[in-house]
Amino acid sequence: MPGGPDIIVEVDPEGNSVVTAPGFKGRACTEATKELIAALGTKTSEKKTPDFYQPDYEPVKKKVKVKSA
Amino acid sequence: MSHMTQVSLEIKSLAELERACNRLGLTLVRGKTKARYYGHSTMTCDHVIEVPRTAFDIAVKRLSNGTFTLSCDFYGQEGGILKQTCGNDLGLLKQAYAVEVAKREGRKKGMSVTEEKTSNGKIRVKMKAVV
Repeated sequence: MPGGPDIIVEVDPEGNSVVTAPGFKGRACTEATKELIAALGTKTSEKKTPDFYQPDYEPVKKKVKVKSA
Repeated sequence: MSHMTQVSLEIKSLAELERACNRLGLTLVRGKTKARYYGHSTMTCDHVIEVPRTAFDIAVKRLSNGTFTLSCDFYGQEGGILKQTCGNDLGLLKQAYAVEVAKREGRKKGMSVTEEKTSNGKIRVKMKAVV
């Protein structure tokens, strides 16, 4: 999500929050939001999206020419 | 986005509670131990939040685990003003507190932080890494 926020906290009028991390892929989002969630209160539920299981780095694709001996 | 976490609020910081009070025009009086409610009664607490235009206060009590509870009386006209100012079950005060905590945490990580109100009464705090 280039240009968009990395972390979003949406707080309802009762004070409860939903934390999302659109700027992160893979398990990096858990680390990025850990302290924030602990500061806000107690985690009541967590829903992992398919992005959670993606690597948090860009896979490198490179063509390599193999020279025969 | 890789996950979505729902968080039930716990009040852990008096500094952010004070900022939340300021947002709503309330005054946190640290160390005041008597909060006023119906019939000129008082309840014992650790701090008091004074609310304008009503004689009823919000009692702030510190629990043994370090978190704080908020108690008040919504009865009658005085209680009605309190509810109008702070929301049902003090929800607007709790919302303001959570927003202040989120902003503090974002700034602590060196992120730029903005907030916006949504049409359904929610407040959205957006954090962006500064490059």
